[in-house]
Parts: sequence; structure tokens; C-alpha cells
Amino acid sequence: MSAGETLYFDHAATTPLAPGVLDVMQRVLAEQAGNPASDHAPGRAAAAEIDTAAGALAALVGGERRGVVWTSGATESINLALKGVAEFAGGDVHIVSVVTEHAATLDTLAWLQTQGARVTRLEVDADGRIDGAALDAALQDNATLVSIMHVNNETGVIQDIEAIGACCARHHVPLHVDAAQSLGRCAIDITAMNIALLSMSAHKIGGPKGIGALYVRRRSGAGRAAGPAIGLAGQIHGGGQQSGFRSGTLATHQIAGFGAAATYVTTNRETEQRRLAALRDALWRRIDGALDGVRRNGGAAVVAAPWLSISVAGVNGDALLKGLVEGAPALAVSSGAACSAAHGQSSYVLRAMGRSAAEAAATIRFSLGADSNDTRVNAAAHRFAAEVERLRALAGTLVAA
Amino acid sequence: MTIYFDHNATTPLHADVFKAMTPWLTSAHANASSLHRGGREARAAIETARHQIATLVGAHPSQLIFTGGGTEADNLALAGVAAATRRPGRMLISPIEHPAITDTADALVAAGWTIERVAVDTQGRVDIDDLERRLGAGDTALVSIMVANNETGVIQDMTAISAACRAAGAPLHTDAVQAIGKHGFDFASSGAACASLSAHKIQGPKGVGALIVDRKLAIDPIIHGGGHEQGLRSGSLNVAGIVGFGAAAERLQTHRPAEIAHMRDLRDKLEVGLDAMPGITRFSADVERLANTCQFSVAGYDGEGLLMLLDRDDIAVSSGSACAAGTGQPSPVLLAMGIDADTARGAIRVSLGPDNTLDEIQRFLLVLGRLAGSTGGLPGGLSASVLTG
Repeated sequence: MSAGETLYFDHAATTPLAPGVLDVMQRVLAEQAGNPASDHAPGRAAAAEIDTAAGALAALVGGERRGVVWTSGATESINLALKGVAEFAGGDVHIVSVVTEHAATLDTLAWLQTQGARVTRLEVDADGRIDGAALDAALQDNATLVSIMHVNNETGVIQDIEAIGACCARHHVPLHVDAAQSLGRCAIDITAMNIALLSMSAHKIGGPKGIGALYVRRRSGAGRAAGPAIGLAGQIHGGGQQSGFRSGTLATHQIAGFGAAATYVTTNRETEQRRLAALRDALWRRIDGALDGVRRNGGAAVVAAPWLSISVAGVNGDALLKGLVEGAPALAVSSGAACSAAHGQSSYVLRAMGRSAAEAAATIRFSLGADSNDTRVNAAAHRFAAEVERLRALAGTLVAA
Repeated sequence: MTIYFDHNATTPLHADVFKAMTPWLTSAHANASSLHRGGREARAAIETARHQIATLVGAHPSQLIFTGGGTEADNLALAGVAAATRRPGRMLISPIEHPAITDTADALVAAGWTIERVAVDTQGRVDIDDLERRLGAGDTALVSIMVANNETGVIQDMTAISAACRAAGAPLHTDAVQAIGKHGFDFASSGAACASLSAHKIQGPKGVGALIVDRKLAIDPIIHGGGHEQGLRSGSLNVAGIVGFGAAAERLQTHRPAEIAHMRDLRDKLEVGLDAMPGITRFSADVERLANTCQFSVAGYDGEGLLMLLDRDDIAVSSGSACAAGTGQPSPVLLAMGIDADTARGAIRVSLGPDNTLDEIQRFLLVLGRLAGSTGGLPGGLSASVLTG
């Protein structure tokens, strides 16, 4: 590989477009110039593209196309789900969630609290998982909604959504799942998992940035009987597109790109995730074999295939990340969520799993994807080990002096 | 080949814009919040676009908050100012605002706000006396009046409107979505505290817009999580879309005067043709309008029916706002102007773009003349022949 190459291990932050997606987007941008809400030939042609994409996305999660509500991304989807359910419910709103959720959920919940909602934030164990009994107990307190992320963005820890969904069903509480990180990586079946609302993002599955969706489960039946299975108030008003759940001109090329990415991952998800899990395990073995004082975060059995979160003893976390991303070859990794990176906060996710502040601060997230292979994994492991040793030697020199 | 006369609904992406977007869809794919080199490059590209757009609209780059489109920007303006206000108060809007404003206003009413609609005259212009009277009647958290209307194309007297707001100490929001490409808009001199923009109305991509916000305005976010865009709009930034918006703005900066002149020339010729036909009522005909827009009704026709007939002839026009398409309701904009419901129901809107040609205008007039003329094809033919002279 050339010295200028970047080893991209940040697929949890965002992914390159999947094969075929750019072609679809280019075709739609060039040929489908109409507004899909317009009632003329160019408008209807654009609307047909959107319908096709909705079918592809629905198929990926075991849903039906009319359940898909397009948004500008998972952050907006999550905002719509939480605020939309709270607004529709009115009165005493109680939302049960988890301390390790993405900022989109935590910040929205904090805002809802300022509006009078009650929020229960479940703790996680050292592996990063919630306790089913604690969920069960929380649901007995007149819960309005449960909101839980399927796969954690920092650690890759998978929550047992099927069990959580079953618990929600017993208590007749609707379940919202933040699937931004799990879509295309883990199997999702909205019926089997009893999911009422599902937040999704295109750019984590090889689709474009700036487009997401909220899947709103429908009741079984036909016509009016098949309305939404949950009360949801739209949050962006004007024009009444998408049954009033989300107004605004639909971005046809973005949606078509999302649909193409969904089709792609539907067919190759299982083999690709097996491949990534093997590569990820190899990456860990090489780093663990080369270095003392490294610790893998998240129960190994419950971490999704692309993730490897490593806490490193005896180094300054900021210096390590800086050394990795700025050295050569550049190793594009993250210390946590891309969106909190800019603020330099230590990871509340790792702290919630019982890591010390020092450990949480000295943590690197590798997240693998389509361009990951043996060569790059070897190069990344080598580069990582060398950087840790360099920093430790530097620290030793400073201590000795 | 379709004659596309619906540029107020959306515009085709310009080839140069597409070219600018492509690298950010292929090799440069990083998240703009990431600290690594790819992230920094994406961030730099976004700042370039922010600068390009700010330059076009006379704003400081730091005043631009990127959103998922013009509708979200309008929502952020009204709901964001409302959220930053301790208890529900009063806002003033005009009755001809886009549904993104009127529907958001309705949602605020449900939350306890008082929304008053300032009167407009029969041409669709805001009544400044009525605005001043309402401003004088009590505290106003926000006034929202669009620069140019999406249906009629009517351009408001923003100087008088902003002067009235300033005198009353009321912040002004303006929806400049339609104005920037076909008229022009300068935030600094507008007197507005915030203004909404959209990329896809200026040959940029769909799915990206912006709210320009004066720092002195008290406004809270409506989408939470992560704190992007100075905490006013969370969510991973749409790098390619924003770059495309920037490229569209820069392109427009250079070409707008010529494009406006071209569209105005075609639109005026269209109107010469229309005026030669029987049974045509043109709306807002006597006031300054967007150079590309002509809204009219044809006696004896329902707007949606006419739209379908034109569609069969491969001509794409609108019966009003694309957002309201298919509802069968007469345009609230025209009703607010005092147009009777029957006439309003017959309205169709032609909105031209820089790529439209005189040949397309003539073809349109021929088809319309055939449809409208109980006197056979003569009026349309006559109208079209007027234009060749």
C-alpha cells in the first residue's frame, strides 16, 4: 500500500457507498428531476422511484413499504419517534431507555424531561447489556414507550431486542429501536421482535448521508384498518407529505440510493458479517498478541461483527488518537461517537460499563466494513501496536527524567 | 420530450453541481464530525459551501444552519423561536405563506400560541397598515412573511415589512426559498432575524436547506442529539448535498442576472399569448412577481383537470403548491387574496427555468389554446403567432 493511503476503520461513523448505489443516484439525479409530490409525469416517475426504495427498505426489516417514513437521517428519525409518541400520548409520559444510548436519544429525552416527561434510564452490566428484570420492573410504572438501541455505536454491543420486544408485548408498551448501527449488520424482523418504531440511517449501510427513515408498524388488515399501529404526531409540519408524519420535499436520489444500499445488504449481509467478524477477531488477536495492557470492551459474544473497542493502559487517549489519525499510514479510527468527537467528552458508554475514567479516555474504536481485508487488518494492527509502544516509551522517558 | 414548467416545485440538478458532489459520494466519504483526515476534509468542504451560500445571500457563514430542506428550516424558525420562549405568546404570519409555515403555525396554536394572519390585498401583497396595527397591539415573538410566493410569485415589500417589525421590536423570519434563484435576497440588508433557504429550487440537490440565523435571535433546536451546527441542528451532515448546495449557490451568483432576464422574457411572451386567449384570468398580474412565475385560471376548467390534460400532452405544470397536490382544495393563497373559490379551483401555475425555450412557450400556448378555446385552435395559434413576430 502507498504511504498516503488511509486505513479506514471507521465504518460505524459512516460507510462508503455500496456497489451500485452511486449509479442509481446518478441515474435518478440525471433523469428524475421532478418533485415526487407533483401530479404530472415527471412527478409520478420520481414517486415510483421512492416506492421502489420503500419496498427494498421494508424487505430488509420484514415490513411493508407503506410503513416507511423518510427523514433526513437517524437523528431526525429518533427525534420523531420519541417526541411524536410523547406528543400524541399527552398527559403523563414515561419513557424507558438506557444510559448508553446515542446522543440523539439522550438529548431528545433530556429535552422531553424539560417538557414534563418522566424518563427511566436503565443501567448496563460490564458487557454493556441491560438487565431484563430491570426492564420488566420499569415497564410496570405506566410506561408510554421503550426506546433502546439495537447495537451500540461505540462498543458494538448488541441488545437482545427479541427478548426486550417480548417483554414490551407482555406489558403492552410499544418499542422503539434505534437501528442506525444494526441495520444491514444484524437481522431485524419488526414482527418477530415486536418493534413498533424503527429508526434507520442510510449512510451506515453504504447509502448516502442525509437520508434516513422511521419505520412505523402498521396494523394487519386492509384499508383504514391497516393504519399505523402506534399513535405518532408529526414533528416537521407543512405540505402533509408522508401521511403528515414528516413534511418536506422528498429527496428522490437520496431515497433511491438508500433503497439500492438496502437491496445490496439484504443479499450479502450474512456472508459479509461473517467475514468481518473473522477479520475483527484477527485484528484483536494481533493487537492482543503484540501488546500488554490492552482490554477489549463489550462482551465478546454480544458485540456485532464490525466492532473492536480497545482500552489501552499507560497511554494518553488524546495523544494515541492523534498519533493514529495523523501518522503514516493514517489510521482512521475513532475514540467513540463521531458526533461527540468534536466535543472531547470521555465516553459515558464505557463509564456505564464500569470502566474507569482513565480507561474510557484511552479507548479506540475500530469499525470494519466493505474495504476491510487481511492486508489492511495486518497493517492496522501493526500501526496501532507501534503507536502504543512509541507513546509508552515516551511516557517512560518522561517518568525516568 | 417533456416541457417542464414546474420549477417552483423543483429544479433539475445542474451538471456542474453534480460534478461538484461526485467526489463526496465516492472517494471522500468520511463523516464530517470525525477527527481523522477524511473527517477534516469533509468539514473543510462544508465550510467552503457555507461560505459560497453565505456570499450569495449576503450573510456571514457562521449564520448558516444546514437543515434537511426548506420545510425543516421554516419549522426551525417558528418552532425554534417558540421553544426558546418561556410561555406561549403571539406570532404574525401572512395568509399566503407556504404550508411549512401555516402548518407549523397550526401546531403552535395547538400548543397554546396565538397566530394572527396579516391581511393581503387582491394582488397578494401584505397590507403594511394591518401589519403595523397588529404589531402595535401587543408583544410579537416572531413575524413570518415570505419574500416571494411559490404560487403567484408575488414579491413582498420587505423593506416596509422589516421597518415595521424593527419599529415594533419584533423579530422577522422570511422564507426566501423561492426568491433566491429568481429574484435575489440579501440577508444583511433585509432586516430579517432569520431566513429559510433550499438547495433544490436553485438547481441544487433535494434534501438540503438552511436557516440563516442572526445571533441575537433567541432560538432553540427542534432536532436534538450530538449538537451539530452550533447546537441548532443535530445529525450527521449531508456532505455531498451541502457541497452541491454550495456549488449551486456559486453558479447562481454568476448566472442569475442573465437567467432572470431570460425567464422574464419568456414569461412576458407567455403572458402576451395568454392575454390573447378568451377566458383566462391571470393572478397578481399588476404587481412585481418572480420573473419565472405566472399563475392563471382558464374559464370552465378545474385546475387539476387541466393539469392532467396538459400532462397527457407531456407538459408539466402545477395546480399550485406541489405539496398540496391531489387534495382537490382551492389554493388558500388565492382565497386569501379574495379570489372566489370556483376561479381559484381553476388555477394552474407555470414556473419557468433557465433552460426553457421560446419554442416550448409556443407549444404550450398551442396546446392550451386548443384546450381552452371553444373557438377551435384559433386563439392558441393566434397567440403563438404573436410571439414569432
